[in-house]
Amino acid sequence: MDVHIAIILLGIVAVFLLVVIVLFLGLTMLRRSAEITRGSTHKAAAFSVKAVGVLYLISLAAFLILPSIAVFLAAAAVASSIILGLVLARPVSFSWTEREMAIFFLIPAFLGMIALYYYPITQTVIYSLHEMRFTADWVGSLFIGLGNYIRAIRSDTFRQSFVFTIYFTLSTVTLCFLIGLGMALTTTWLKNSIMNQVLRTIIVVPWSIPLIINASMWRWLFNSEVGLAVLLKQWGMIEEVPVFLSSPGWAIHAVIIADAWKWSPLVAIFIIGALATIPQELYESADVDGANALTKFIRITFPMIIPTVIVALLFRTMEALRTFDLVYGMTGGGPGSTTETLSSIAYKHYFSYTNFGQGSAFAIVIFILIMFFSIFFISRTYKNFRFKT
Amino acid sequence: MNTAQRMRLNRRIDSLLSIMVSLIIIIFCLIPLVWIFATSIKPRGTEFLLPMQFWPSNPTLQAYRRVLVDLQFMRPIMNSFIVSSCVTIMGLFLASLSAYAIARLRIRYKIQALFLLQIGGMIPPVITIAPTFIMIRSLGLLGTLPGLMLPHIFYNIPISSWLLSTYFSDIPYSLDDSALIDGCTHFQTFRKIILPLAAPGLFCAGIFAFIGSYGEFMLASTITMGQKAVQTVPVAILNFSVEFRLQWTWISAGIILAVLPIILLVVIFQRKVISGLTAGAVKG
Repeated sequence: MDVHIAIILLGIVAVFLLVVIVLFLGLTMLRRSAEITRGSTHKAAAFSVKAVGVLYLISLAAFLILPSIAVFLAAAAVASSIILGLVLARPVSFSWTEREMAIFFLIPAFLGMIALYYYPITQTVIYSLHEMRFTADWVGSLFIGLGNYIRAIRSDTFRQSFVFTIYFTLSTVTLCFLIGLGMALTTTWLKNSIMNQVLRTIIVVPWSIPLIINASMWRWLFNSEVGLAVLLKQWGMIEEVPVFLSSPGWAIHAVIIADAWKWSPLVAIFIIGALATIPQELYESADVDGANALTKFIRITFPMIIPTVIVALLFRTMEALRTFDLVYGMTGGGPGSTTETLSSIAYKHYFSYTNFGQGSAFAIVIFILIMFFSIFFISRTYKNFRFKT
Repeated sequence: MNTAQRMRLNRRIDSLLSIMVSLIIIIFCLIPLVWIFATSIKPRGTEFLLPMQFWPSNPTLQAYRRVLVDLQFMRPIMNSFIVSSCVTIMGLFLASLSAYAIARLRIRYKIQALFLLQIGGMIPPVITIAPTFIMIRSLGLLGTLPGLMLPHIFYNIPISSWLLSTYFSDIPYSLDDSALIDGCTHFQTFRKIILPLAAPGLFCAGIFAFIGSYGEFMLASTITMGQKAVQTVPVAILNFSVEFRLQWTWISAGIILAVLPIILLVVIFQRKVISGLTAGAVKG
C-alpha cells in the first residue's frame, strides 16, 4: 500500500471520528435542552429546541440528496444546538447519562448505515428519474420523470428477466423447502449421535461456499462433454446428455439446481432448529393414542415448525429475488438473455452500457419487490425480540 | 417369526435405512466438491478425455503448483484474508457498540433502532452499487484494498448487530446493576463484563462477518476493476475461468484452494455457525 492511499485513509478515519464527536456533542446538547424546556413555560426556548431538531432532520434529508449542501446545514444544526445547550442547560455537567452513552454508541454504526445504505438508495431513486448516459452526476442531467421505468417496462429484456426472476424464485424456494425438509427430518430422525453430528457438519458445507465460486463449480459439473451427466451416461443411467448451459430450457433449470444446492442446507438448518424445540411429550401422548407416523407429522411436527419454515422461506425469497452472482458466473445471462435476472440486467446497464438512469430503474423494481417480502419477514422475526426497557 | 426376531429385523432395517438416507444427503452435499477436487488432481489435459474417469488413475498435484507458483494465486487469497480480517474486527467493534446500546442500555425506541440497522441487510447490493462506486471513486480509492474494506465493514453491521443483540440480551441484567453499584462506568461495564461474557457470540458474529466479506462478489469486482494486484478470491476465480477457459484442472485447483479456508472454518465451528444461523428466527 503506498503513502498516497494511507493519507486518504487517515483522512477518512479522522473525518469519521470528527463527525461522530461533533454529532454526539450536538445531539447531547439538544437532548439536554429539550429535557429542560419540557417542564418550563418558556415558549421561545421550547420553540427553538424544536426548530433545531427540525434542522437536524432537514440536514439528514439534504445529505441523502446532495451531501455538499448538507455539510453546511449540519454544521448550522450542531452549532445552534451547542449554543442552545450552553444557554439553556447551564451548568453543563460532564458526566454522561445512560442515554447519552447510548447515543454515542449508536452514532458510528448509524453513520455507516446512512452513508452506505440510505444515501445510495436515495441516490438510486434520483438516478432512476434522470436521463443519465455516460455520466455519474445527476445534477447536470435531464429530469425525465418515470421515463426510465416506462422504457424498461416496454422492453423485451425487462419482461423476460422479470418472468425468469419470478420463475427462478418460485422454483428455487419450493425446491429448497422440499430438500431442506427432507434433510432436516432425516438428520433429526437419526438416533446415532455420531452420524447425526457428521450430517450436521456436512450440511453446512454447501451453505458456506461463496455463490460466485458455486457458479464456477456447477459450470464444470454441467459441462456437456465431460460433466456429471456424461458419467451417468457411461454408467448407463441415462440415455442422452442434455446440453445444459447452451439450451434455454436446460440453462434455466441448471441455474435453479445450483442455487438449490447452495441454499437448501440453510433451510434444513432452520428446520432442524425448529424440530429440536418440539417437546417429546407430544409424540409420546400421540403414541399412546395410537397415531401413525404420517398423522404425527401432519398433526404435530408440521404445525410446530411452520413459523420457522415461513421465516426461512421469506428469507430465501428475498435472497432469490436479488440473485446476481450465480447467473453472472454460471451462464452470464445466456444463452441469449434467457437466464438474465433483474439484478444482472441492472448491473449490465450500470457498468456495460454506462446508463445509470436505466439501471437504477431496474434496481428500484427489485427493491420494491423485495421490500414487500421483507416487511413480512421483519414482522415475523421481531416478535422474538424482547429487551429490557 | 416371534416378536423378538421381528424387533431385531425392524431394528436392522431401521439402521440400514438410516445409513442409506445419510449417504444420500452426504452425496448430495459433497458431490460437487468431490468432483472439483477429482478434476484438480488430474494430469493436465486429461480432464477432457473420454471415456471419462471419476477419480484419476494417476493423481498429481501439478495443477496446484501451477496455480500457486506460476499464476500467483496466493495473492488473491492473501488479499481476501487481509480484507476479511480487517473488516471482521472493525465491523464487530462498531456492531458490538450499537448492539450493546440497543440490548442493554435504558433507551426508548430500541426495536426501531435495531430495525433501522437491519433494513440495510435486506437491501440488495445491486441497488446501492452505483452510488457506492461513485463515492469510492470520488474518494480516490478505486482499485485499492481499503476501497473495498470501507463498504464491507458496514455491510456486516446488519447481521452482526442482530446476532450480538440477541447474545447481549441473554446475559442477566443484574450484572450491569451490580457493576454500576460497584462504580463502573457504562463503558467499563461494557468492556469488562459484557464483552467477555458475550465472547462466544462475538466469535459467532465474527465467523459470519468473515464468510460474508470473503465471498462478496459484486462490489469486489466493481471496485477492483480488473487489477490483478488487488483481486479478492471470488473475483480471481471468475477471472480464472474466463482467462483459462479450457484449463479446468487449474480452475478446479483454484476453486479448492479458495473454498478450503471457509470450509475448514465452518466445519470446525459447526455448532456456532448453526446456532448463529438460527438465532432470532427459531423460537428457543
